[in-house]
Amino acid sequence: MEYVAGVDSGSTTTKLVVLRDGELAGQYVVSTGANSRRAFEKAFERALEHLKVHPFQIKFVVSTGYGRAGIHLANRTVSEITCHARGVRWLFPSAEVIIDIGGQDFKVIRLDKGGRVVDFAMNDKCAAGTGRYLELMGRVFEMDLETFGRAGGTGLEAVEIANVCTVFAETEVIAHISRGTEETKIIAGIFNAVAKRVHSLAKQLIMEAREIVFTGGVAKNAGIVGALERMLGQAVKVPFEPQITGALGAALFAWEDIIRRSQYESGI
Amino acid sequence: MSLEFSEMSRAVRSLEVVKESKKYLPKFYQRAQERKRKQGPLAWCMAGVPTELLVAFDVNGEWPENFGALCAARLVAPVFIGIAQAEGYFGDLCSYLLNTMGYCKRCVELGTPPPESPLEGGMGAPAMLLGSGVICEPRWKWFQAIATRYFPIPIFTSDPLSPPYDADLDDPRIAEHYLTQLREDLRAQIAFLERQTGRRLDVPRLRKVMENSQKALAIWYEILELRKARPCPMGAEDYFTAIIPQLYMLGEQETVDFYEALYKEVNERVQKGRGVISDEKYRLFWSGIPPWFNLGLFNYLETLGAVVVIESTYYCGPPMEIDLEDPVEGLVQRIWKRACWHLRNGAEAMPEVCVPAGFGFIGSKTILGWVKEYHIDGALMHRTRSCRATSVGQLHFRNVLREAGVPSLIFESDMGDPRAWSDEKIKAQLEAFLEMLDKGGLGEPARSTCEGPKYRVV
Amino acid sequence: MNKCGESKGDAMSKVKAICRARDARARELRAEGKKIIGYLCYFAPPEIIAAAGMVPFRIMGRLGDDVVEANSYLEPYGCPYVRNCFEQALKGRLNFLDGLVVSHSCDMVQRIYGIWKYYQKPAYGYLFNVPHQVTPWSRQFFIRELAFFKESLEKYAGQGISEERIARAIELSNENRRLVKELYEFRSRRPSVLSGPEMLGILIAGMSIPPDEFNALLKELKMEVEGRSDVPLDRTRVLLWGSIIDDPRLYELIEECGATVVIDDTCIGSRAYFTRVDLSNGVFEGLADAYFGKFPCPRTDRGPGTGRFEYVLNLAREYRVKGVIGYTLSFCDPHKLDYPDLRDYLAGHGYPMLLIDDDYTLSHAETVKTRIEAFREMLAKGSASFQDLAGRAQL
Repeated sequence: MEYVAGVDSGSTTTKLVVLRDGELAGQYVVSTGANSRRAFEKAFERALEHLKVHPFQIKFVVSTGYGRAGIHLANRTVSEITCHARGVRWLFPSAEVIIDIGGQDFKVIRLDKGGRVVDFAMNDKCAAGTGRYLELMGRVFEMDLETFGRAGGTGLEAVEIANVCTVFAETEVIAHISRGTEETKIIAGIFNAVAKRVHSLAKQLIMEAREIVFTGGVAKNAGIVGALERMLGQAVKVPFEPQITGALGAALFAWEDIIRRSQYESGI
Repeated sequence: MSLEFSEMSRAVRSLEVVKESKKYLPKFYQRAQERKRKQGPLAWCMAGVPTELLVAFDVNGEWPENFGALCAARLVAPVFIGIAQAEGYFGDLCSYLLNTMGYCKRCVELGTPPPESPLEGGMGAPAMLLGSGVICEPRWKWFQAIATRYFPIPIFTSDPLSPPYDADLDDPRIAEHYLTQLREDLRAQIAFLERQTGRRLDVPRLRKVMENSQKALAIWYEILELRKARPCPMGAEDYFTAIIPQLYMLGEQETVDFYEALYKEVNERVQKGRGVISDEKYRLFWSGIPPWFNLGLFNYLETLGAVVVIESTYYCGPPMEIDLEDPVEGLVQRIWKRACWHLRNGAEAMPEVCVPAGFGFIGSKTILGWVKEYHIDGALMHRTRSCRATSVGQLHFRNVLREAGVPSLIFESDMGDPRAWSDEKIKAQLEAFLEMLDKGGLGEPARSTCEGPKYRVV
Repeated sequence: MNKCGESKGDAMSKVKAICRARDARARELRAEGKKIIGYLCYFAPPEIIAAAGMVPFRIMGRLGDDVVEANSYLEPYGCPYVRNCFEQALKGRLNFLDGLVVSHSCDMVQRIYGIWKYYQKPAYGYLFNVPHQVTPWSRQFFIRELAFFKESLEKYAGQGISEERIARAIELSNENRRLVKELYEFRSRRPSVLSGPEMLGILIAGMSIPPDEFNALLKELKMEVEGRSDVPLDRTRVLLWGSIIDDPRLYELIEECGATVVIDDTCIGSRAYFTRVDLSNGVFEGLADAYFGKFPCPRTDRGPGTGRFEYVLNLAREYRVKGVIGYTLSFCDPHKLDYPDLRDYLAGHGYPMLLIDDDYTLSHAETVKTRIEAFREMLAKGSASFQDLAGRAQL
């Protein structure tokens, strides 16, 4: 049995995926906190414990994400764009567009029929439309993220949140609350605002794509999924564990490397 | 972001001649001392003012745009920009401009060039302002503001209007329409210089100077053509230094000598099959003003196997044959002929074509030609947030390149404000882009941490 | 969104209706076989378009409209008004236009010509080139350009345009100008009866319908507003300076804060309407004088020094304002580079200036109102120390 690992070291969460003989063996998510290296070690320890393996049994590690260069156990780094593409394609073999909304940024990736990345766009200038934005808004309503995700009703009745800036949008939301606007409508409006931001970036890359996959922690928010689908005018697919697609892709690259090496060694 | 810790702030040049630029071009690199020595009138100029005129009139030149780049590289720009903003100049204006306005304000406050200025004596005490309306309009509004607010000295702004991209160039009336404007404008500029210097234009001198600039441009063009070779003998870190004589010293003998020496070295490399890097994996086209404070970006790309083989920024274009019997008319003809060349090559998104100083924008058709001639794998475009003139049109180029099957990356930063840069964000995009270009399969990883990052150390 | 102010009579409700559906009349005329030529900026004289038997239509944006389609062709850092206008084209809302005339006023407008033409492929397109410097030879260039423009329209229209027809079109537009100026003066005397938003609404309507129809409407309006009765109004009089303002919302905000715009120095405002075309030296000389020599847009170089702002001071004095409110769009170089000197010049002559910078959405309406209110209060108290407010105009 051969084990490999992929780690996606993000600014908010660190995700680790372990493959055993090329199949999913375990996936682990820990809060990154202030120290990405320690967060990785924590996730790694959890994996070893869960799978009952020794560290040296993990033959190859690929790291990706914001903190990838600091992952000391990594043999290789790959950009998160390429990793997300790889991971999502493994789960959805016909995926054409990936929309990933993370803690502090969001990206849109376009794949060709063969699954190769042909274009991408990233928004990393401000937190509007990211997990951070939703976190802030959830706190205004004193709801945890799960509850918040379901508090937008059908989403069809929503107020307009005009301000793009996260901080000013929060002020706007508070103004709505004090005016007595229905909570459901405000929350639906917040979800629409996120969908709008993302749509603005994604539009150029979607162009007649039939299968769109939505990943990242924010994809666990049902309200956002609905708002995004309405904005795009088509359904999107969400993996069971939308947060780990980057780490999964990294792990798959690690696995490929093992295969290539053994092929080389046996003279293929 | 702590700019002091940018990995890319120091560029390592590859060509020996470029490394020795300061030796070849003392008139530019030691111009502060030169000014003290020569004591002649000092003109603050916009790039776009024909340097041949400055040389012919023996006028010292100083370029606030170049000064802006220098201040950015020395991380002084944010100070001056802040002062300009306090004056009421908005942050979305050109960062070179903000830098200069802040600098001028400091001069006026202190009565001398500010000590924090990276050049000794700052930009000196100008006797006149030579503006240019070419490329973008802040460039003439800028000097108008300086003359109104800080230094009420004589000012001349030239206005070489460019025809629209769909102008009918075969109609001689249209040509005459624009040529008349160019001629009158140039004559007025010469008249201004005559008044300011108290001398008539030395026509034989100008003729000699134009001969120099023609020669220099021809050699420089040949050097750029040599970069078609595989592996490429010259990258962007060298281009953006070697461009200095073209921008600021066209007409000087030094410029001819520099380009001749450079040609020799680049040609030798091509003969020997020697490239900037031996393992050339990606050949890139570059668009936009570079991040002057982080030219090490190009070295970073080279560690990933990527070389910028041709740039649209400041591209001099093929040499134009002109008659120097009347050197003033010759200059007009050079401007016009190059304009026609650009207009015929897809100037729809970047129509500023009538540039006197031997540089300008590039058309979409030219870029498509380059894809084949320079064997381009991808396009890297720098969207400078405070320079719309060089950024607007890049999306269009990306569309055009996409049709031709060439991927592009447009990344954002600035040319004059170092705070706009983030190592992490830009590296992430560059790495992802190169992985996308990879022909080795489903995104072959761009680099291996096993061996650690490779940078050529100064 | 209700684009125009309150109205009690027939003429003003006509204005409201036009503003609500600016393309309605143009579409009607097109159905009758007329060609509609859209234009951006105000250097290419619409009179020549009218003289060609076609209908000039000023292209404007839609305040607050999300710009999404344009992102595939046009950079986000660039005049938001131009981006918004292009967005309208991409969304198909300008499909009633047969042609596009773009004046080379500023960089972004010059650039959009090529991009618009390349992707939208209008049946007719012309970039009307305008020198930046005002010199004897640049004036000659402008005159030649007028002739080329006329020729290009003739080719498209399939008929010649005589100078006589141009002269007649100019007479019509001069009549427009005269009537508009009268309304301005009327409003200055009785601001409670004709509000700022209404005034802008009238001008927006005027740039959406043929000039002869505008004349008739103006005459009706004149009678109607003269018949209105005064209401007690204690609003602080201000001059509004700025670039393109094609939606009355800003004017409404100003009124809500207790101030009122009695005169402006803006594109769709006095700049377009206060300079008559003088025909005594012929049609081309007249047009060159009015549209180039005298047109006071900061994109034209009138040399260094503050003398170039004297006309603003004169307007402020003539219309008895207490202060000046400026409005700039993001990335607007010509206006933003004039601003510090204009502000200081006006302040030196006793007219404080507040600047509002916006990205063409006015999404910060609340903060804008706070500042206008504070400004008005300071003007009312005659407060001298308000440089703080003016200087911190950055949003």
